[in-house]
Amino acid sequence: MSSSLLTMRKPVRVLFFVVLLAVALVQIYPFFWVITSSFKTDADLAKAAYLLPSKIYMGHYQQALQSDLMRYFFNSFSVAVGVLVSLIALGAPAGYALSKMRFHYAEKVMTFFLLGMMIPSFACLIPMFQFYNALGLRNTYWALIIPQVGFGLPVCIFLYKNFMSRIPDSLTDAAAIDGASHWYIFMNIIFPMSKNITVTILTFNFVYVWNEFTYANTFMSAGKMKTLPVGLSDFVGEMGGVDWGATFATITLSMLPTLIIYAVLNKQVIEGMTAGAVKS
Amino acid sequence: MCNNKGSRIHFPATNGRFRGRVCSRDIQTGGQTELKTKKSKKKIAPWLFSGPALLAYTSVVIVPIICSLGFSFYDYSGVGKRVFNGINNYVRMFRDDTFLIAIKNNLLLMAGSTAIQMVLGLVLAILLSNIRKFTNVLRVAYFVPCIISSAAICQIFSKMFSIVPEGVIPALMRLGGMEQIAFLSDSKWALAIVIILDAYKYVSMHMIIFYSALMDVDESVVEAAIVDGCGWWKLHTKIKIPMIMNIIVMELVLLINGTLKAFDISYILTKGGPGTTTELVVTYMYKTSFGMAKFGVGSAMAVFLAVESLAAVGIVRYIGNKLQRRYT
Amino acid sequence: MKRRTVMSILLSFALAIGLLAGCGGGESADGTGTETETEAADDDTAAETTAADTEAEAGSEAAATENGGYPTTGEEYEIYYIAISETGGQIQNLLDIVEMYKEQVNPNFTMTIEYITDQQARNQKIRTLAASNELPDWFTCDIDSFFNELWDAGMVANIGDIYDQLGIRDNFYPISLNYPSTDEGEVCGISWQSQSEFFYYNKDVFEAAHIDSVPKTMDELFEVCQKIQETGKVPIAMDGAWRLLRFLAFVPYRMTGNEFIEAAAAGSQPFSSEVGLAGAQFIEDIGQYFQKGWTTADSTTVAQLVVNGDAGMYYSGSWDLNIFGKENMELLDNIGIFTLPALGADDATAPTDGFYNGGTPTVISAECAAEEEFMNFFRFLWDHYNDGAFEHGYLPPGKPSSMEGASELQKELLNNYANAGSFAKCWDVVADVATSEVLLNETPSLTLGDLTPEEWAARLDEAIKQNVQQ
Repeated sequence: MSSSLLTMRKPVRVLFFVVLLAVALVQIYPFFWVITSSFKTDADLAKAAYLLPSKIYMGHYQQALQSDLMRYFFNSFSVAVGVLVSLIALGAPAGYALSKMRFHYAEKVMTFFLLGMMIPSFACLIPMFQFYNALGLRNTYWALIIPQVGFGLPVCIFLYKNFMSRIPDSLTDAAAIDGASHWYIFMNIIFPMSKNITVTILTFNFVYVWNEFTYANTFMSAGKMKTLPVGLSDFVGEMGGVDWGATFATITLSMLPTLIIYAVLNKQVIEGMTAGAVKS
Repeated sequence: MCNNKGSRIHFPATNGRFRGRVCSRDIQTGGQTELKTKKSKKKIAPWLFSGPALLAYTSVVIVPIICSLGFSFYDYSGVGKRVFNGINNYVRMFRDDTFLIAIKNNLLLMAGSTAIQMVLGLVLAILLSNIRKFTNVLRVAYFVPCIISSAAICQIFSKMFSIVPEGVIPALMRLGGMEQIAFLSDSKWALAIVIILDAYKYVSMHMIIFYSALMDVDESVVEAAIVDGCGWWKLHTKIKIPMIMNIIVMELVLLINGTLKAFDISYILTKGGPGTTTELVVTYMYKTSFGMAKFGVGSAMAVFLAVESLAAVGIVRYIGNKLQRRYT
Repeated sequence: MKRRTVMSILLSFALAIGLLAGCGGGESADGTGTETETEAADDDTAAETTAADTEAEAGSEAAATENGGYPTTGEEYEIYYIAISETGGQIQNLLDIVEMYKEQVNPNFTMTIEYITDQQARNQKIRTLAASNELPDWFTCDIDSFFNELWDAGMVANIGDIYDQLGIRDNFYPISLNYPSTDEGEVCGISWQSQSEFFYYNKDVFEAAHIDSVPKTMDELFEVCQKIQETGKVPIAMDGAWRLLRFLAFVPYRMTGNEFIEAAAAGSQPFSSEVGLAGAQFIEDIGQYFQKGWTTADSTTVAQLVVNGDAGMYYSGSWDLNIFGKENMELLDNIGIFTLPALGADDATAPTDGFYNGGTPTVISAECAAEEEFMNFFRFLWDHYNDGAFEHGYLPPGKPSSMEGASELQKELLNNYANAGSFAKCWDVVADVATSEVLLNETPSLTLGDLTPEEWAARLDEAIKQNVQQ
């Protein structure tokens, strides 16, 4: 970072900063707006949408918390943990095999995985439903975990493969000469060294899983198994009327965990991206 | 003298302790020997490592899609019998004007959204890599739209575009002395807004990928270039961007693939309307399958989409490889 | 970590095998199993349920008891119901009655309700379930072409027969029976409430525009709109949903009753006929009086425009009294209502005829209807349901035992509903589901002026040709 900065004069840098700040404001404005709106009374909500609340009103949060929000949180969280753990457990070894084990079919297997990126998940909905139903997985977390792992694997393996193939062979060869098994090399050298890409995969998939709607709507029937995105429509009435205040409060509450996680992990994500995305 | 030497990117510093240990072993054993001793094991081992993923992926994604693709040769409403009707579904699909409009809209969205995300993402990443302070805060701020669910984003924006009661965008137009436009109800604007919002939601994800690639450009190359008197503009256009060309190509693949399957913004915000002006391939596929209960035609559309994605990505990779070869 | 990977290998194996089995099973299941259910629904239920009463007493099972004068098997029984929304009086009333049934009759009875408010998401789920032979016991469903396939396959129950067995058919108002019924006149769905549709208007807005009486004819409606627009207010508040199709139906309904839409949906009369084009022309003309950006507006927000005096009129119905009414279910002081204006002297319909319905019907799977405990609950339900309506702020689909608790306005609305001669059919329900999608897609373009009435009609005729006459 440092040396390229030398080529630039300070006023230019300030100008850059101003531009970046302006863009950042555009990016966070909706977030800001939904938070302020969640504190508006119903009367305020009917007025022009850009106004600030005339007074801070907490009623919508009471309403949001009275619904099963906490339950939805728990469900979303359980599904997210299940998806992320399975994704790493399946994706990392596969990435290792495709990048580090000289293996004749590696290219073909990778292409086979990448095919999955082209498939729209709606197209599979009916057979998937029939399978999960036959297996008795409906209304269990598995019905949400399995499809998201399946459709998440292609990108996950793609990233792992790219990252791992950049780890110099010299590191693993040494261990191999010492008689270490592939499993040992994977567990003790390659996987720990891939920490950053793991964090990246976790973050991006978490964002995706946290917002998933279609599977949750299709495979879950019991109200107590709802996830947050499905729970968002709790405040929509019979003829389509929406309780906006409560909806905004729920949106605000459901965003917070993701935002906090990202803020904390942000540095590793960047590092992970750096290495994972760049092919050597 | 800004040439492209040294464009191979080095492995970033990792856990120092670990590295040291391995390096010393490297020297002891003389490095480059391969795992030749375990030939018989080698054949099974890769399958043991990739097998679980392969199995899970095949059973979760491939088997259902094959079952589902079978539908595309049947007349199937979801209830009662399936009637085999050969390629009729495909014929019907291509005779359907709305589907053709959806393809056209989708291609426009692909071009527009990809272009915005590539250019804006890259520009922002370059700017961000050139400032010293607050980068962390800015990165978190940029990421906010990625985190909010599409349903929430769409609800927020439909309020912001609303004319009665006045949302923030019409209010700004009024202050600017312009005539207020109901963008989402206007057939000339609706698709443009959907494209912009699609790009808006995901641009920061790509910005961060570009940013990390730029941060990873070998410092010694940059230093050498600066010593040679390379200015800021040349440094970026002649060295940095060519050095991340592989990332740019990969991004292009991901973006094109993603935008061809775009669904949520159009579906939630405008429901494909007004009329068919924002109908996309996947939204129309969803409507055909589940709204009109024509699963056969819906499956045919899924096949079309997969083939379309394959073709698009194939073209990009072909061009990308040529580009990369030229720059490296 | 090691163990986890081993586990995941095992898991994926198990999964793959299971899935392959599931794939085969799913496919073989679709044609066959349904036929036997058909019989159960059509003929046997009558015998079965009348027998059930005697059986309940004679049955050897200890649990078969009668509680509070109601028969029950006493066994564990669950009804799974996909409904629209948790908010709203009708569902609260139902839930209350479920609680009463548990307390007074069978403590082992449960009703699990899943609420899916978005219509597309709900249809998607129900269609996925139907394709897998897993229909929910009860579900919300329009009597549309998709429902007719379920009906023809014998997967859903004949509600009219059930009413007859319970001897409660006569207690319903005619529209509550006729609205959710098949083309042959069989009652196939439950009406949960009496809904009538009309315009709400803001009296202050009318006054400011010097309008002294509500519009009686369509011409007067346009005059009123024009006058309101001149004051700078929005004449008609509109959202982008089913409401627009009502406006589309106004003129054809006044000209021919339901004849036009029924003929058009069957493909025997084109939308490009005189009546169809008249309807299209009307909506293109009235469209200029909607607020800007209406296609993506939501109903709560636009209804509020009328309450606040930012807009003059809003076409809606009795269910919106919680917005336009006070706690006591009388209208707010600044709000009035008027019914669908007439066209002229040649109208095929009486001025009082208009859109009346029982709300989106609930239908019952044939499998559920054959259950003894379902009948027990259903009997209990209808003994209490109509009387609970006023308390929950809506109008019952059948005669309550007393009018106590009803406001004057509610009494008047209920009276109109009970005596309405005919009711207008909703176009999106009469047309087959595929054409209905086209209707919902193209009509906003027509209203915005992006399509001429002729172009609009041509697209619909094409859709009918594709979907009906093939």
